[in-house]
Amino acid sequence: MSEVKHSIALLGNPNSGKTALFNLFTGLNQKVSNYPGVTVEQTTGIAQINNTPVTIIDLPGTYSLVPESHDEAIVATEFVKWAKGENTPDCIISVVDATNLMRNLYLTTQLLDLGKPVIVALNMIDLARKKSIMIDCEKLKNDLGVFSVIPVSARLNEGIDDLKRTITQVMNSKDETHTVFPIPEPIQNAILPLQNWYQDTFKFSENLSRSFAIRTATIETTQGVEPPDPQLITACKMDLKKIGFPYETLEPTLRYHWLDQVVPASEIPIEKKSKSEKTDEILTHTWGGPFIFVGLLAFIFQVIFSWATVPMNLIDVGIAQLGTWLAHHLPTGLLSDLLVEGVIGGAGAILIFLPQILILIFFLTMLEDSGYMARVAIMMDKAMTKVGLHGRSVLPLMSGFACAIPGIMSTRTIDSWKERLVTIMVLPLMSCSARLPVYTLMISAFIPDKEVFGIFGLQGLTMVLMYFLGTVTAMILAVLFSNWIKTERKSSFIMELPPYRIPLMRSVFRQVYTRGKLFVTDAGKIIMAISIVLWFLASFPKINSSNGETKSIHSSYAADIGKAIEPMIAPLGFDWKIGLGLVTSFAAREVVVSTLATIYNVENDGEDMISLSDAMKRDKDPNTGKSIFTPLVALSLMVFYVYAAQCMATFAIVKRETNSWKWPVFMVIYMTALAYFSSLIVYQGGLMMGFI
Amino acid sequence: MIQEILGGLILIVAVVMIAMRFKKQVTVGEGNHQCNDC
Repeated sequence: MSEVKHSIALLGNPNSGKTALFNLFTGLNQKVSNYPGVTVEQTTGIAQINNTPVTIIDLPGTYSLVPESHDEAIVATEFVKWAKGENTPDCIISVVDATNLMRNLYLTTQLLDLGKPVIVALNMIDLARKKSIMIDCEKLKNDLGVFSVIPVSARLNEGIDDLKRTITQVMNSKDETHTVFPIPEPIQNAILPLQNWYQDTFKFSENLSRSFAIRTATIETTQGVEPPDPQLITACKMDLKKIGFPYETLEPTLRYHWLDQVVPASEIPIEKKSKSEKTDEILTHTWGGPFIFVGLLAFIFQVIFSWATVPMNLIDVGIAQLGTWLAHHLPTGLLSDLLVEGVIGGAGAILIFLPQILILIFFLTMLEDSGYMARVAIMMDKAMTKVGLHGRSVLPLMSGFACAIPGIMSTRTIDSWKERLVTIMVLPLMSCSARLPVYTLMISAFIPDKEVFGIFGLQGLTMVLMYFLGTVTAMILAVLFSNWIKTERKSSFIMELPPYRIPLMRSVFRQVYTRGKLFVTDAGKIIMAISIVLWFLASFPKINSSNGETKSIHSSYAADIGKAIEPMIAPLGFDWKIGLGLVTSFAAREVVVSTLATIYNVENDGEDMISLSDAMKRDKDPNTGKSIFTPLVALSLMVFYVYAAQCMATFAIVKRETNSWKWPVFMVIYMTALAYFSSLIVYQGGLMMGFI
Repeated sequence: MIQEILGGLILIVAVVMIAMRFKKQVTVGEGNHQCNDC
């Protein structure tokens, strides 16, 4: 493979389609969606541009090089490194939303100051055409002084070949950019001492030094660069004041003034309301909007339950038949028992839940890609502020329905530390996909399959209840935490509303496939390993009986561990088998299902595999003869799983994001206490009310 | 006897896998269900 000599950086406003282009270039699979702030870290990949390997750098979206959040600061810091000559890319692709040229080109004007060739990729050109926005690319190129302006649509793979050809031209060209945006002479004179300081101190080019001088006069500091002497800044401000120029808005005023002249007046204004605006009137209505949102979530969780039934049954039957076939055909012995009872019986029991997880991911991706999630964030901002969160907290919280880890990472888009911390602390209460197998198993076995109000199924409603229980608790705790954590300034919430788009099925199914693969490979591996270890613990030591040495689950090592925990969890209605599941769940929540499946298969010790659901229903306490699992125990267990802190990876990511052990430790303590006492109230309260 | 030896080997591999995953989870916070692209 030839050496990679060239590098290209992708920069642009949030939600302008940088990552979609990155994926098209590199063939990688970075997450793309229809809301701002999907990319919060720098990512690199290698692309073959006309048979030449090129490093592509994808950076988080930002509106300008004056950062307002952690992810935007990454871009500003990187830009300063390039200015100092550290890993400067050969070319910058400024990804611009063609439907919102003026605002998007603001960043482009800042990028031009670096002096490197800039290609403007006019993304979403298909949407611009639909809105009758016509752009004269040649005029724009000449007026801005960029290398080229290429209309593209990353969604439809349109214009990508043109873009690649232009990149090749840049790499073969020796031209540097020398665009200088016009500044009135009095202002130029006022900022000159600052400009000279940057030129002398950092050896920046004249153009770049001028740009830094303007920024310093506006905001007093520039990300990643030591500021000049405060006296120098004050003197510059005084000079600007003397000529009657408000220095606080110097940079935006100058740049937008330039853009007012540059952006061609070929955008045909839309007089009538667009389809997106009409849809918004309904979906984000003050009262109707939240009802639609809650209804939509209830519908999704109901559908997860009903649509998945057929594929789940098919997988269930398939796994049972495989286990039975192996039991009949393998020579009797330890290995055959391990394979049938531990691997197929234990780990296989989890595969049944794959269809539900895929359906959940499908709907979450559809909501994100359509642009609806961004509306939910705006709609919920007021409510979120009341509970001490932020409009930007909505998207991380919603992605917590899939997995808490990417959700916690995406809180980097929240600029207020307090609001970010509160979001992180309550985020694991959103029921992630790993809880789905636990809910499903308990609901399908112990909640009757009957209709409620003629349209809803009781089983589906119970599932909805579990999701809402976690969400409502998260909101209540956010109020408590935000009162407790020391206050600081409240941040404002400005978010660009992306247009509604019909989600690209290619992108949606890629996301579903990726998550399905991760469930089977990543979670599957650890579930299988635990099932194997557990099988050994449940099968040994063997006891002497009239048939020679036989297995007895009740005197196994697994039972010893479980019974040691039992006194603590007995008030919640849990026996030692569930207790063992609670321990193994720390590796992954759904391991409780494979744990129970392994134990019941070892206990059964027959040639045919047993259904976990049936085994749970049949299980009786050997001393009292009462059923171990009842609807009340199932409810208590589900409530425990709604709240319990059983994900080591989440704690590690909280430690990383908060840079302290204090917060993950606090999280474990409060969540465990919440789980225990909620479960206790449900079980003991249920018993008092006469439920069994 | 072969079945016992193979079973023992599988047990060792499983324990090593759990230990490695544990280390990965607590050091880099890599989850079991995390999307590989976030």
